Amino acid sequence: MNPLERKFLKAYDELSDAIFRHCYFRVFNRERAKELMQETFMRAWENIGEVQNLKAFLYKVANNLIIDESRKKKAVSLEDMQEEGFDIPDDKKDRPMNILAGKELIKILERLDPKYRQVIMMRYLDDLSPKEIAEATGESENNVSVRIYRGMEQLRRLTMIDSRNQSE
Amino acid sequence: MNRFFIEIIKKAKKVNLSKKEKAEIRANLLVRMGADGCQINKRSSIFKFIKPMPIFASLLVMAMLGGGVSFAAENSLPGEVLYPIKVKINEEVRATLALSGEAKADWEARRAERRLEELEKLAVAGKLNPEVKAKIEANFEKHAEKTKERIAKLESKADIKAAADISSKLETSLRAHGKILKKFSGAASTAAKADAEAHTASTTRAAIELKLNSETAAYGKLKSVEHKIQEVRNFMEKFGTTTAEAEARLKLAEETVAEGKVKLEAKAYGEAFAFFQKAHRIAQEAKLLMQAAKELRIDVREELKATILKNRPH
Repeated sequence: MNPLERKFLKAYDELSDAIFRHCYFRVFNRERAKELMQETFMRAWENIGEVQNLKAFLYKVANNLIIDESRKKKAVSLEDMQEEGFDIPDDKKDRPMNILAGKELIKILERLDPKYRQVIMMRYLDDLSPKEIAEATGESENNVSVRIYRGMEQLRRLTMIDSRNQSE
Repeated sequence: MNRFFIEIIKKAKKVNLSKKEKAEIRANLLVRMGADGCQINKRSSIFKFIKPMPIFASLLVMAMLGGGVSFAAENSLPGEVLYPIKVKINEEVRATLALSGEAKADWEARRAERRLEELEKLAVAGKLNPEVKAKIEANFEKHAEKTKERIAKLESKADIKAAADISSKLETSLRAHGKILKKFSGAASTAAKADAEAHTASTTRAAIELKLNSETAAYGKLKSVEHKIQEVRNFMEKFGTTTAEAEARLKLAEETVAEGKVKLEAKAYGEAFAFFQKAHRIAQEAKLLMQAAKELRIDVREELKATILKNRPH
């Protein structure tokens, strides 16, 4: 196996879960998310010679595929997913809790501005640094930081309203 | 940060692939990586030696290479590794796939265009040398000639509209390329060739259109006179005027139409048109006379007789 192949497979082992998660929280369908993740890595392989930062490239490809996806078929609306909540395979014990938490998150995410949603998910769910997010989305690092800040502000407002409603 | 949010994020992070799923996809990737043995970068001249081959061999080659290579070859330029595939495999296969005469002519014209496009791309990249240029020009000429042959074939098969359309398309695209090529100092000779072919295509098109017009006009007149004759017959039936003489008149008109049809068969469209027009006049006169007779109750038999004598074919 040559070094390029080794590098690529290492990236897969380390990042496949994260990329899968990233796709999942956009399309809310496990099978589709798996396919998108696979496609992301396949395309990354095709360009492996020219890519500098593989991690950023993977996210970039994934985002583009997700955008294509939502253009091709009407995107699974977040409303549709309100019923399903999360889709976790094995943890039967946690299931009821997860579904509930899922519904809450989805309700909130729905109200969040899509631009904020993306960077917040990448920051806190995918654990990307603002620099990495900037590379993956093609935005400047500054814009990314601003969006994260504003997104969190909006999220705070939304979750406070929600938790207030819940306690009443 | 909000505790609620942190909780949710913690839960969300638990969404993972199962070990099995992860391994499955990894295996798929390995397959793809293995199939990419086509390390084109390493071996440079492997495709140079493709000879003209029967079409089934081309199809076999295409199947062996796989769609990816075929597709990648489409953007290649003279001098690049995949170029022979583009020209000798892809283009030949597409030529075979063109079934109608029109499709064949159209594809041939497109091939000529592709040669010019390649030259332009090379010029932009600064990779145009006299040798490559001469080769491209020769190929361009070859395809331009073939296109002209196919257009002529279409004409002979009386598919005149298709011939005109393709000539017109060719003319437009060659003119455009001529303009583009002029911008490159090294491509002056090619620009001249493009212009020359555009000019030829233009002349061909004009000639075909003329033909098309007079043919269309003749057929149009035929239809019109046939309607006219029917109209007069209807009139006669309705008002029952001077049957015998009017019949003779109409018969004359019909005979004239028949003569025109003979000319039509012989593709003498101008003469055919003239005959149809004459027949139309005769029929119209008959009708007018009948109308007048009906309105004014004049005996128009004498008028009709005179017209018949005057117009009798000799």
